[in-house]
Amino acid sequence: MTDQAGARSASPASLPAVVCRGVTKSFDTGDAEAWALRGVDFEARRGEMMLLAGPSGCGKTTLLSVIAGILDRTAGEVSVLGHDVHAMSPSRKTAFRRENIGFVFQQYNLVPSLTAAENAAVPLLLRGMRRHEAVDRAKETLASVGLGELTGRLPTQLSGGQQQRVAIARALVGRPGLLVCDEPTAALDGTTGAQVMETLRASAVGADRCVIVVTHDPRVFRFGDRMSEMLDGRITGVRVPGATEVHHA
Amino acid sequence: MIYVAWKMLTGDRAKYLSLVVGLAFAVLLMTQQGSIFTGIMTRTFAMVTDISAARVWVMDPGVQYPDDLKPLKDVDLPRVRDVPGVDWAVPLFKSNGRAKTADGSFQSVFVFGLDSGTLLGGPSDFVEGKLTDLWQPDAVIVDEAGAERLGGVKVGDVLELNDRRARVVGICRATRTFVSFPVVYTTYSRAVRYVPGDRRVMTFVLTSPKPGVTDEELADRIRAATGLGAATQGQFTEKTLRHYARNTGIVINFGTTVVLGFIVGLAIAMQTLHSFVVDNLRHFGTLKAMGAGNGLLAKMVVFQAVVVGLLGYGIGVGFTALFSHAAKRSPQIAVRFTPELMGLSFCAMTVLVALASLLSLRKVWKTEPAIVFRGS
Ligand SMILES: Nc1ncnc2c1ncn2[C@@H]1O[C@H](COP(=O)(O)OP(=O)(O)O)[C@@H](O)[C@H]1O
Ligand SMILES: [Mg+2]
Repeated sequence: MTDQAGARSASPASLPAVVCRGVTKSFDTGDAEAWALRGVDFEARRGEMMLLAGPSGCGKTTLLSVIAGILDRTAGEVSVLGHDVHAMSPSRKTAFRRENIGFVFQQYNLVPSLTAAENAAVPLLLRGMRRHEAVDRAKETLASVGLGELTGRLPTQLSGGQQQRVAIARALVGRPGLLVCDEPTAALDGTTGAQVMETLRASAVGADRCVIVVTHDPRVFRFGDRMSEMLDGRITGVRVPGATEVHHA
Repeated sequence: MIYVAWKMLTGDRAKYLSLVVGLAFAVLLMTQQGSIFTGIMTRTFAMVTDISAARVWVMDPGVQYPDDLKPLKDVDLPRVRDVPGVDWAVPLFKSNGRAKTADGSFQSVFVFGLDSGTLLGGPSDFVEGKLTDLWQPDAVIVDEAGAERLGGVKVGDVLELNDRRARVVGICRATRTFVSFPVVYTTYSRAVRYVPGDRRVMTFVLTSPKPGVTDEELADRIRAATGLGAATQGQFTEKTLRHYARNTGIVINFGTTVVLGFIVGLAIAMQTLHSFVVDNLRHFGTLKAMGAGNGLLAKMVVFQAVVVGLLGYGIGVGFTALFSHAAKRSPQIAVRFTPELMGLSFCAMTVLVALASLLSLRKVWKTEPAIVFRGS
C-alpha cells in the first residue's frame, strides 16, 4: 500500500483520535426512513478507553460502524486518526481499515478451521506478510493476552472468554491506532466478561491507541476511562465511570 | 490469504466433500455419456479405419455408410485398376448371411470375402489361429463376440453358412461395428459362393494411390473415370457420421444427455459453491471489515472454486477412465474416452467453475461489512 490513507497515521496523543460532528444515519426500510443516528457529536482520544453505553437499539453499533468506516453516514463529519474516512474512495477506505483499525466482535467471528495463532495472524496476512512471520507475531500477541499456551488450539477447543481473547489478539496484532469493540462481553458470563475487559485494558490501551468499547452492561463500566451515553441516536452526555457528574459533550 | 481460503474450504469436511462429489458427478455424467457416444459413433465407421491399408474405398455411388451394402459389377474391378495413379486395387465382399448353429438355430451374420492373394481387410488381432489359415479348404474366421453368439463355436467346429459347409480355423478380435452381428471372414471366391446368386459380386474395391498421388486426388480420378463412388478414409468416415446424424436419433439422444449433464453440473456447481459462500458470508464479511479488498476476496473465492473444480474434474474423469477401461473387456459396450473428450469436459468444467464463482463472488462483494457487528 503506497497511498496516504493506507499509511499509518501518527498524530500526537493530545489530539482526539475520533471526532464526530452532527453525524446522522438513516436506513431506508421500504416505507419509511429510520433514523438510527440523529446528529451525533462524539470525541475519543488516544490513550483512553472510551465506553459507548446506552439501551438496546439506541444506535451504538451504527455509530461504531460509521466510525470504523464499514458503514456510510448520511450526513455529518467523521474524522478518524486525522483522516476524513468518508471522503475516501472505497478501496482507500478498505486500505485505511487494514492499516489503522482493529475489530472485536460480540460473536468473536473466528474462522473455525484456523488455529488461534492463525486466526490472530489474519490482519497481518491481509497486509501481505508471509504466513510464518505473521503466525510468529500472532503467537507473541497471544502470549500478551495470556494465551501463550493455547496458540495451536482451534476455536472450538477454547472457552468463550479464550475465544474473545484470541479476537483481541487478532485486533491488536497489527498495532492499529483505533480499536473498536462491539459488546465484547455480551456473550460471556460476568466473571469471564470482567477478565476479558481486564485483558483489553492491560493489552490494548496505550498512549498511541484509542479504544472504543460499545456496551450496555453496567458491570463493565468501571473499566472505561470515560463513558459516552447514548439515547435515541444522540450522545446525551459524557462522564467518568464511577463519578456522578455529567459533562456535556 | 490463499492459505486461509484453503482452510475455510476444507474446514468443514462434509461440505467440502459434497462440493467435490457434486462436481465429480457432473463431470462423470458429461464424460461418460460423451465417451459412450464417441464409442458408438466410432463403431459406425470402424470397418473403414480398421482396414488402414485401403486409402481409397470404391463403392456404388449410392452407398452412405459401411453397412449400406450395394453390389458392384465384376467389371468394375479392372476399370478401377485402369485408373492412372492406382497402385493396387483388391475386391472386398461384404454381405448378410445366415449361419446355422450347432443347436440348429439360425443367426444373421456379416460375411466378409477377402481378396485371396492379399487377404486385405482381414483381422489382425487373433485369439486363436492366424489370417493365412483362410487358405485352407472351407476355412472361415469368426470374431470372438460372434463366436459366442453362434453357440460358442471353437476352432475346428463346422458351421453351416447359407447351407454350405464352413470350418472355423480362427477366432479374432474385431472392432465392434454398429450392427453387431457376428462377423465371418473368408476368401472372396468362397464368400460369393456362400451367398445367393444376385448378390454374387463385390461390395467395395479397396485401393491405394501410387507415390506422388494423394488419396483425395485418387478418389477424384476414380469418380471421374468410372462413375463409381470413391472416398478416402476420412471422406467415408465423415459421410458415415453424417448419415447416422441425419437418419438416426443418436446425436439428438446423446447430445441431450451430454447437455443435460452440463446443465445438471452447472446447477450442482453453482448451488454447492453458492451455499458454501453463503455459509461463510460472516467470515468473508469479517475479512472485509478488517480490510480485505474486492480483489483479494475474488482471489480467495476463485481459488476455492478452482480447487473443488480440479478435484471434481479429476475424480469424474478418473471414474470415466476406469469405466471405459473396464468396458474394453466387454465387447457389448461401446466406449471411447478420447483426449478430445477430456479437453472438452475440462473446458466445460472451467465454464462451470467460472460461472459458479462469479455468482458467489457477487454475493461476497455485495455483503455489507457492517453485518459483522450484528448478532448471529
Ligand atoms: N441495516 C439496518 N437497516 C434498518 N435499520 C437498522 C439497520 N441497522 C440498524 N437499524 C436500526 O437502527 C437503530 C439502531 O440500531 P443499532 O445501532 O444496532 O443499536 P444498538 O447497537 O444500540 O443496539 C435500531 O432501531 C435498528 O433497528
Ligand atoms: Mg448493537
